[in-house]
Amino acid sequence: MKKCLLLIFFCLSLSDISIIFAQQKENFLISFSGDPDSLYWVLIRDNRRNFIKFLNAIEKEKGNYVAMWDGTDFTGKNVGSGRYSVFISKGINWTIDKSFGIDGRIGLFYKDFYVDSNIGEFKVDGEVASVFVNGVKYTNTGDKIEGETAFVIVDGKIKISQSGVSKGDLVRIMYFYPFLIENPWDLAIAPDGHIFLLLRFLKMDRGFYPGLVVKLKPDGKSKDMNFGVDGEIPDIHRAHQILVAPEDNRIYIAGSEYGNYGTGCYKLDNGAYWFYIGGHKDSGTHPATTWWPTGICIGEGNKIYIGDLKVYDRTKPMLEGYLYSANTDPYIIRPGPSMERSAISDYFYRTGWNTGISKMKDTGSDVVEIYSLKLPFKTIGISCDRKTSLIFAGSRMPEGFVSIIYDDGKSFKELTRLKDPQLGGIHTVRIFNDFLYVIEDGVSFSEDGYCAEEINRKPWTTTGKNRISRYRLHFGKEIFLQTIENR
Amino acid sequence: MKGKAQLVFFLSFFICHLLHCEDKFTLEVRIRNLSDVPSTYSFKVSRCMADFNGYKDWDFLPLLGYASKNGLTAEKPSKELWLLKDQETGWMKMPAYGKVLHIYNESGNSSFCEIDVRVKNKTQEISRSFLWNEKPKTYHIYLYYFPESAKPPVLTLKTSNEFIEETIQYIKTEMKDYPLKKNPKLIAFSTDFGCKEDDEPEWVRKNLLLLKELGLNCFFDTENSLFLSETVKEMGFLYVDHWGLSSWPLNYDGFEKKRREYATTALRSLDTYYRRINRNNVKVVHGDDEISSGSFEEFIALDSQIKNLVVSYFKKMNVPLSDIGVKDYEDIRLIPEGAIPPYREFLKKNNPALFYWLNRARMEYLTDLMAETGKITQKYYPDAFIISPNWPAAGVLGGGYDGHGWDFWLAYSKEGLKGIYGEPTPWYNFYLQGIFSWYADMMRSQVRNGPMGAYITTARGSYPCFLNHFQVYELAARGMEHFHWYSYGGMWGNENYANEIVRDLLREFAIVHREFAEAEDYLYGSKQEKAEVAILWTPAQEIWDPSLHQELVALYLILLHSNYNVDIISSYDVDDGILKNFKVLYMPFAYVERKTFDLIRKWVEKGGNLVVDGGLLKDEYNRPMEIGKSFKDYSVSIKKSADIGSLAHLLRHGLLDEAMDNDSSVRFPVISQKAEMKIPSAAKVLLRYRDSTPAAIEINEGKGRVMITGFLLGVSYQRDEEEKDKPDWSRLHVGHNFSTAIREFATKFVREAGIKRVCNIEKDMVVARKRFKGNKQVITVFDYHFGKRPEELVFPEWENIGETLVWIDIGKTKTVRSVRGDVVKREGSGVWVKFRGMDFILVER
Repeated sequence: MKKCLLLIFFCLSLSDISIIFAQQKENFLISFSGDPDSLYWVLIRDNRRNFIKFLNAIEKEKGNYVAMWDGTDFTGKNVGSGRYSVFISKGINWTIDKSFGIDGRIGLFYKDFYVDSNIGEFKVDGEVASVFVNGVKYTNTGDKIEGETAFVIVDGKIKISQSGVSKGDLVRIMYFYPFLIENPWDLAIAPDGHIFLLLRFLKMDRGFYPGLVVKLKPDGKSKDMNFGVDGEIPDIHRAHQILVAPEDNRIYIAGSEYGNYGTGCYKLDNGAYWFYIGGHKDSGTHPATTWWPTGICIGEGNKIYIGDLKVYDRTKPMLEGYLYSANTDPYIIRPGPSMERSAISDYFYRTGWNTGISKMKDTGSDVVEIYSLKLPFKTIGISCDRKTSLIFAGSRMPEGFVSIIYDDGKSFKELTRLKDPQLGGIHTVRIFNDFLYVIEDGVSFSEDGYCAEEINRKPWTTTGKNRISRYRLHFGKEIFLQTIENR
Repeated sequence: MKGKAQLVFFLSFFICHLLHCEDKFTLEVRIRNLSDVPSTYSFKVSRCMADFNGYKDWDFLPLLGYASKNGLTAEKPSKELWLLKDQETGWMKMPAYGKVLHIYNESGNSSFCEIDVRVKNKTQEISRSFLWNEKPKTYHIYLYYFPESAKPPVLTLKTSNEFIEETIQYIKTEMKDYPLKKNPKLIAFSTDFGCKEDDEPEWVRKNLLLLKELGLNCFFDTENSLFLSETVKEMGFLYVDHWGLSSWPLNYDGFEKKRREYATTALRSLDTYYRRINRNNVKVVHGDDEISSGSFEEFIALDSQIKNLVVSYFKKMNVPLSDIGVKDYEDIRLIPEGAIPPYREFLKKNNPALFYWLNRARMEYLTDLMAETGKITQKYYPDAFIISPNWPAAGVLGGGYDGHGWDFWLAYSKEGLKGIYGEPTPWYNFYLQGIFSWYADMMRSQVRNGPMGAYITTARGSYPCFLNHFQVYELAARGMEHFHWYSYGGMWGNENYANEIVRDLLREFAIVHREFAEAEDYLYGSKQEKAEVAILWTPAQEIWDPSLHQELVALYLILLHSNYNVDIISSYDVDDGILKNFKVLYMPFAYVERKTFDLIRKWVEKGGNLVVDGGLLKDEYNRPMEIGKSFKDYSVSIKKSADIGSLAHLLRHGLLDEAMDNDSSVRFPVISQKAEMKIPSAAKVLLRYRDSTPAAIEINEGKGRVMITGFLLGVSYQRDEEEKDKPDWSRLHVGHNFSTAIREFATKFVREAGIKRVCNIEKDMVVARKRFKGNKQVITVFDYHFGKRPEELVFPEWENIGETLVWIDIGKTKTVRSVRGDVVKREGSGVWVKFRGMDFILVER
């Protein structure tokens, strides 16, 4: 592409925004005035209004913002000659998407009743986990009520031992909607909106109970029963991250092959097991051994990056597709649970539970860190919106929030935080179109951002929120600024 | 295949010993290290379960020891004892009980050594030196092979490559001038052979090439080697078979839990990367290998754990509460107060109705599970020809409701299973008397003429060439379209067979394939001529007394040898109204469900002909039942000496009596059980015991008739034959001196009902089956005298099989030809055909 040498400089007032647009050397400098201390985005679109690039504007001086466009699209490729439009948008917000699950959430719920004349019979949608009467836990005794602190579920109704319940008692039902969702760890969304939810382990226990993957319909209200076994891939052992690759008709699950630390590969259409990638070989002395497959992301061609940074051809089973490893000591840096593909070829992001967020580059024979950001809070789950280069990072603080981080190609910058007082410690987040899924696992956390990945070292309890919430993201209204010609 | 394995093991072991076909031999090995680095080697042999010395073991690849400076050592020697350059072990004596010697380099460096081997038996002593240089990890030397089955082995010292190459050349030469050249494309002939990861690819390819040369078009791809799967594909086998889903372990965790367990296993195993290679042309998906469901006693002992299962089944079946003695289903107690094990006996005595229905509840559950495995498998293999467990034919004979005999009628009546796959085992007591016809008709009946396939099992030393050839014809005549030669003689060990390449058997396979290629346009997709005679099988009999399986088979042989088309039907079929298709029904069983017998009684009243074999009739609750309106004065008492057991040794059974006609031309030996009958005045006595009391009667009932025999027709027929031939089962000659008079008596109703013999063949013991496909017909014809006189014992080898000339009615036809024999001339509506053993007659109308 021939760079346009024409200097464009203008200033206009539009509502409360004044804008200056210029090209310096091979970059386009976009300047404008706006409200001080605000968050402004610049969007480049082509003459058909197709999205080209998303830029974060920097407040150069009080109320004066600049953004630099280097003439590339969001994948880093130079755009062709032509006319491009510049839009400006202010701020970002989110609202819970009430069309999802129950008022925007699925997972663990509580519902309170006061005992009235219909003594001892209640109903909730979903799977009942526990019943409390005035704080006393009642036990599900199966077919028949046995004892004073017992309940049974018959024809969907919860029947409580009448001898132990009086009028006015508070009955709290703890239940999961739309089914048992314990320790949600990650999810991936197929292009059609179906959700593949990874549950790390069930039974509120850290033991060896296997987890599973569930295929949920896009509205989060039910399983897709045509998939796998009644909508599930059962017996997924201590997995970390799930991703779908529609182009391969595959689901990849980091660490799903418990016992050999392999990355499981399943068919996207029916959930059938295909093979696993990596894993142990020769007692771990083999260079292709994947010891910590806590995160995965796919790369260019057939590449897949696994955990402690091994690079594989994902079309080949076990160690057959091994290509090369990062030279970084894999035993020190334990990534995950999130590894996220960047929009730019051969780059990806990863989190480590004590390393923050790193941008990695695949050199073709090694994987190296380019730059990183150590956040003032622990984050173990990130999601990258490849179009905007925005990285959403869930915080694992007691009052959870989602941090928005911008990668300008040279460094990371935390821009803002999305908050919801309902949120607790977040395991990870996933962005899909305008939706942001926030996953809270069932593992409790400490004040300093205790991570679930530390469970092998520290005692933990199972009082996490066990939920998935879906938010709709709202960027400010796009305001047309100017057309530029790229020659 | 454990059940089959055990059976065949005992037979092979027995036979090998008595035939002395595998003389003891000695094996000595010496190794000289030619490499610059110290080396050691280990030795194994592929062996069968029973070795020459009668030693049996499940270890088919035993370790013989390691090479060291001190000779053969049991443990891997320390490095100082490894062979240095040019050092040798000296002659090492090794146990000589395997066909292939495998030598493994245990040093971690490339092999370079000289291997001297010498083997010796009574008649041969040979030795040879082999140079092992830079070859794969293992070196293989064939020690002996069998040029002819049932003959002693011949010692040889050949590398695996030399041996397979030599075998390929043998087949090429043998088939060069054979008149039939085509190989089958529609009828599938399959086999498997084990290879290991380290096997030399070229050797594996040569083995597959041999299979192709034989004419096999299908391969059981068990995915034990990706390379093998790929090579099978590359070599153009038309079909493959795969393992499917097993219902094992069968337990009573509940249908839903088991369903999820099966679905999970299927998800992890049926659509994997390794299956992708050959999954698009899968012909048969094999479910369970051996089926075992535990015992009924174990089921009852679970008591409260299975109560929900029982109650829900009882509700579904509307089991009358009064029958089982409760006011509410919830009141059922599987182990009543005061009961002590065995509970089944307690229930039988104290609550027979509950005993019966508990059996049914259990079988309903087990068959539901079995059908579910098929249903799940179909999701992954929607185009497979057969999705079925391996039907344990031997188990059906030896088992029952309680064991692994199963109620397969029930299993196959459910949605899920597709077709049937059987394991008909050579059952010596019926050796070449029609046992494979029975297997096939039993399977055909259960699957209601659906797709069928079978393993063809061969115990070397059992005259396999003729037996296998005859067997596949018996199966094909009844609609079998998939055959698995079990097992091809690969190099590596296998569960029980000698497993070596028996060259004349390979040649026989090649011929069979070419004959089937000639006939397959007529056979494939054809329909069998309908039968008007049926034999009844009932769950009630299985539940109360499974020992009468043998009688069912023997009765079948009477009808087979008489050359009548016959179906084996179940109570379920009768309940579905199938009786209208038949004119004569044999009930070799005393126990029949009351509801089912009501339908049989109505059928008789409308003109059906019923044969009550054994004289006794009881319902599912073990209560006597009235046979019909004309039987008001009928009563019977049974003297039972013993269960029949295995028919191979009926001579062991004491003779309880004899049943004879007036001039003693018909003379049945009465064994096992005898009914003393008080008969209605309207009854006509057909046979009498020695004391002149009635032994068989006939009575009119409405428009039909009933024959009651106070003894078991089938086993009498067998016993009479044994009496005449005094067969020595260990020598495997086959007696076929079956009494025509007994057969004629037993089929009286059939003749009188105007039912024709197949193709109107009147020659004694010559049997045919006719199949139709458009304007094509295939008549498969057999001579169960094998071209010999009836009193002549037959050794089932081709050289002993005589020629049979028979007239076969083929009706109006354009063309007729014989695949194996000759069409001598046309006469009337038929043709005279000359053949040896069996033949396909191909007819176009």
